This record gives sequence, structure tokens and C-alpha cells, in this order.
Amino acid sequence: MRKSVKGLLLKDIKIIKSQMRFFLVTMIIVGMFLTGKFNQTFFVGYTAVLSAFLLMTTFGFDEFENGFAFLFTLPISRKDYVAEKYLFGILLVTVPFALVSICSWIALAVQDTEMHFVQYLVSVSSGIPMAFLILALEIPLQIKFGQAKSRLISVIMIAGMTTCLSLIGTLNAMSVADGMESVSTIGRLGMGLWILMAVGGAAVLLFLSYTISCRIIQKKEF
Amino acid sequence: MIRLNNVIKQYDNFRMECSIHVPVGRITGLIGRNGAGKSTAFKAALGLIRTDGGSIEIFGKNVSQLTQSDREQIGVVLSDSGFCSYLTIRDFIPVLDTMYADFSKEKFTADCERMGLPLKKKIKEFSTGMKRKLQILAALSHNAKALILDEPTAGLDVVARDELLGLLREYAENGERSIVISSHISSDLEGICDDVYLIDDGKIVLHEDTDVLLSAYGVLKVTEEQFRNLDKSYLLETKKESFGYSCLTKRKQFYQDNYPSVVVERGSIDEVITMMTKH
Repeated sequence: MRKSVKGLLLKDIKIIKSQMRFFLVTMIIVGMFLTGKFNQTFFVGYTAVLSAFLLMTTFGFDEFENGFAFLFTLPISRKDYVAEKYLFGILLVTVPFALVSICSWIALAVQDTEMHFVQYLVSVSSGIPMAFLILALEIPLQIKFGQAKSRLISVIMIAGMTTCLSLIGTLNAMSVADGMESVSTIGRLGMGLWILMAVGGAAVLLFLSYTISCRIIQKKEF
Repeated sequence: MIRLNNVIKQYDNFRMECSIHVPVGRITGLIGRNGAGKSTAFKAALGLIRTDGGSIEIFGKNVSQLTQSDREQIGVVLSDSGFCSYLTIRDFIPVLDTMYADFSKEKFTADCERMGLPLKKKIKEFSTGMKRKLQILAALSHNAKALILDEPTAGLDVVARDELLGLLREYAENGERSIVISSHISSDLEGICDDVYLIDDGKIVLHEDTDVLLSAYGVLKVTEEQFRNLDKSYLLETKKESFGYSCLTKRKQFYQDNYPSVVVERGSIDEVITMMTKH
């Protein structure tokens, strides 16, 4: 890994660490709010989505008090900056997601669930393509407009994503509540394929988004 | 080492068009009033803004062609930008250590402590002067060959200013490093710079060695009658005053020798700025 990217990663990790208390409180409050409405697997997917939004806060810190100007006097290229944001975004989504998934699976195992691990993995993974999609859409917006200007677009996007997630969660809950176990299982098998395709699609979108972000940042003035 | 060749930057109501050359081993000052174009020139030199003409070279390369290791050789202080203020110095040390091959963690930490900068306190809680000290120490921390310093002494008290100017002098002593520095405190530049550029309304209106500026430049204070009889060949600028005229000259000695009754004040950067910039 280029040392410029590594240095930027370290900076962003420090930023996230300084905001960790706020992040955890948000997770817990929203988690508590959602617990009654959705099952455990939804909460795991929700972690991935929330983590994707967490990346966007790092743009705000970079931008604060015209910080971009100083940042780009360091030995980093503009492409390095963009690459680091995507890399950090993917890490932010996948690492907490993996940790929460494992913890959640252990909790389910303790409760003596009948759910198979693969089935479990498929049901929680819906958050990943959603989180990648957020990264793909939000990062170029943040680079182009900055945090303040892109806020309105972000709010609309968050609302859209939340609606989608709610729909998925509700459909999921309905299929189980109706006792349609066989339908649900078949649906989940199909859903597994669907999620794989969605992750693949989101990865392609991420790459396209990266290319666009690189073009945007080359034209920026600080 | 740093060369701006007829660099043009056009904004809606402002046009910068300037050439600046900072040779190896020199400390060059850039002076001018607020909004004259100093920061624009620095940002252009660092590739932070696009230019509309001319060329910029650092270490003999076009600024857009600089590699990561070239950029490691540049230390920067910007007047309106700095470290993310939600982090601490301790947070930034590993970042700088990763990015700069020649970064000395021990020296930087020791310098920060010596300058009274707390390592664990968030930078947003620092005073303006403390933030400035941190930026300067960071710029000096990785053995850069070129320092580009925009108002590095702004917000510092006299003692801290002297200390930091001393550090800069010491830094440039080996003769292989170059510094370009802007400041609105003329005494800072008089004490440290080998030469100065005066920028006004985006244009370089004067470039002179500091020694020459301080020894040969002067301001004549003359009455209307004295002004009429004055040889005006060596006058650079004339300004109407209540008592008559103030005249900036590069040949102070000539007037002292030939017009003993004329009051001749010693040249200084402040005088030059006052006389040569638009009002």
C-alpha cells in the first residue's frame, strides 16, 4: 500500500476513533428503536449501512476550516485521497459488519435457533450492497459539493434507503410470521443469489463512482 | 528551486500575473497588502488552484509532475488552513511519520514540548499562535528542501516570533534549502530575507535584495518648492502630502549628497509598501 494512502487511513481512523462515542450512542439508540420492529438480522445489515454514512463524516473533518488546502500540501496526490476514501469506506462497512455478524450469530446459536449459518449470512448480507451503493453515490457528492451542500441530497438518499430497508425488513418479517417456512427458505435461496448479484453490481458501481470522483477532484480548487 | 514564470490566475474581480524566482539557498520574502495576491501565488505554486497561464516549477519540474518523494521535500504553512483541529498532535505524529521518510518523531515531539504545545489536547483548543507554531514545526520536521510559508508568524507574540525566525534562519543555513515566506510584519522579513518581492493587485511591482532596499532606498520629504528643483531621475514613486511630497528613491545617497537640506528617511519595507502600492 502506498504510504500516502496509509497515512490518510491513519488520519481517518483517528477521526473515527475521536467520534466513536457518538457513533456507538447512535447505534444503540437507533438499535433500541428498531429492535421491536425488526429482527436481529436486520440490525446487522443496518450496521453496514450506518458505517457507510460514518465515512461521510470524515469529509466534514477534512473540509473543516479549509483543511483540504493543507491536506493537499502533504505528500499525497488527489487520486490517493480518493482511493483512500473508497478503501476506508469498504473497510468501514465490512469490518464492523463482520464483527457484528459473528456476535449476532453467537447470540442466535445460544438461543438455539434453527437457522442455518449460510441462511443467516444471506439474510444479514442485504446491508452490504446497500452500504456499497451509499458509498458509490455519496463519495462523489461529498467531493463535488462538500458536506454542507450535499446534505440535502444525502437526506433524500437516506430517506430512500431507509424506506428500502424497511420494506425488506417488513417483507422478511411477514414471510416468517405467516408460517411460510418453505416459501421463506426458497425465497432466501433466491435471495442469496440476488444478494451476490447486488454485491457484484454495487462493486461495479463503486468502481464507476471512483472514476467519477477522481475526475471531480482533479478539477477542484482549494 | 521554486520558479513561477508569468503565472496567471483570473478570478471574477481579480487577476494575478506574476513571476517569482527563489534560488537554492535563498530566503525570499513576498510582501503586499491584504488581498494583493500573496496567498494566491502560494496556492498556485503548490498546485492547489488551477492557473490560466504561465508555468510553475519546483526542483526543476512542473508542479503537476512532482512525485510523492518530491512533495516530501516541501514544507508548507498556509495562512488559512491547517491540521484537522478535532485531532491532537499525538494523533498526527503517526500520520506524518508514515507520509514522510525523513520525519523525526523524537525531534518533533521534543520541539512541540519545548514550544509549549500540549500533545494530548485537541488542536481546536489551541490559540492562534499555538496553531501557527505547530504548523511551522511540522513544516520543519521532515528535512524539506523548500519551505513555502504563508504568514507563518501571524498571531505569534514577539518572543515566539523571534524564536521561530531563528529556527528558520538556522534551517536555511546549510545553503541547500530555500524558503519563500510572506508576512505582513515587515520587520520579520527585513531580519530574515535575502530578497523581497512586493506584490500589489496581483502584479509584482518590486523585486529587490533586502540589503539594497535597506541601505540604498529612502524616502525624501520635500516641500513644493524643493520638489520643483529636485532631479527626478531617480524617483520611483511620488505621493502628495500636506507638507509637499514624499518621494521614494533607490538612490538615497545621491539626494543626501546633492540636496543636503532635503529630509531623507531610511528605506524600509513598510515605506516601500506604503509608497508603491495603490490606495
